[in-house]
Amino acid sequence: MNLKALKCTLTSSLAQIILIDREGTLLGSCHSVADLRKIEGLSAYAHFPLLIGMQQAFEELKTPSEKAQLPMVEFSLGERKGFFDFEFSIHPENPDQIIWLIKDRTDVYTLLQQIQQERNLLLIEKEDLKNGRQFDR
Amino acid sequence: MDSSKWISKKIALLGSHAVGKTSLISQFVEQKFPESYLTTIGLKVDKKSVEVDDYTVDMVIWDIAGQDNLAQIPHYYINGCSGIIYVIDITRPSTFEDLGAKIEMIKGMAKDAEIIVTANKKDLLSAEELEATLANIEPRPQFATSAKFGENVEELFHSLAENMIKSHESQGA
Repeated sequence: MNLKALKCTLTSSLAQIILIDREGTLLGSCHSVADLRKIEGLSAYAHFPLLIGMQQAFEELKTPSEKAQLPMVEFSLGERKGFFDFEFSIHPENPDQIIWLIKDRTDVYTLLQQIQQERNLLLIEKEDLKNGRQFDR
Repeated sequence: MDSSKWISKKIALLGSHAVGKTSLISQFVEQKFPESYLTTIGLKVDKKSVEVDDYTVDMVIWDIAGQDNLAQIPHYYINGCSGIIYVIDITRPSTFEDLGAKIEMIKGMAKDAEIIVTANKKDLLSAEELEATLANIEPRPQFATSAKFGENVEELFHSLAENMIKSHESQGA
């Protein structure tokens, strides 16, 4: 196995590509993070409501080089629940199809969430002290 | 269902950290209040359908991480929003400082969105304290809610749905 193939093998569970058409039908997927074969041919909008909110963004994508990026999404992809970065772009060979690139960033964003949580709680405590009043939050 | 009376709308909840955005959504969608606070980073999306007059409104709800600087919100989080709920914590003045300027900024970011402000955590104040605090907030929040006890939560989302329907009808869509 050459290094490129080895890299693909080692990192395949960290990213997934899904192909949808402009009507929202899920055309295909590489299934490397989650197996979506059961919903191929069905409405991606029905299974992933988040995509409904991206319809306007899809309409604004005109060339394959344009990307619609949606970072830090807490999401369930099939059985896999975690934090993901999403990137949407037009298929370079078919402008009627949208490529949905999903990167699993659960490890790093879980750590970030813990840090953010501690920071937020400290800020609230500080504000309560400043205001001279504690609440049973 | 009469398809002409079915609409799907993207809405977003904005506001500082720990004001109760996620809890409001949880109470609205699942009638549950989270046992403990867990900060949202980035984005979570939920969905609930509501019946308003002759309409079924599919509300696709974007729960956006608390932010002190609205300009840092990624463009696509707000893009295409028909409704926005701006949430403040009635016990934390920092969450409603410069509220008017923030609302104006949101209007610039989401030009077609209906915007409602709610003062959350009303259960932590007495009725007198709540009224006195609300009276000093400009613009005055349209709602005072308690995500913890579900007070006015249904009414909040229902009101936004009504406003979005009016806007939808006025656009002749």
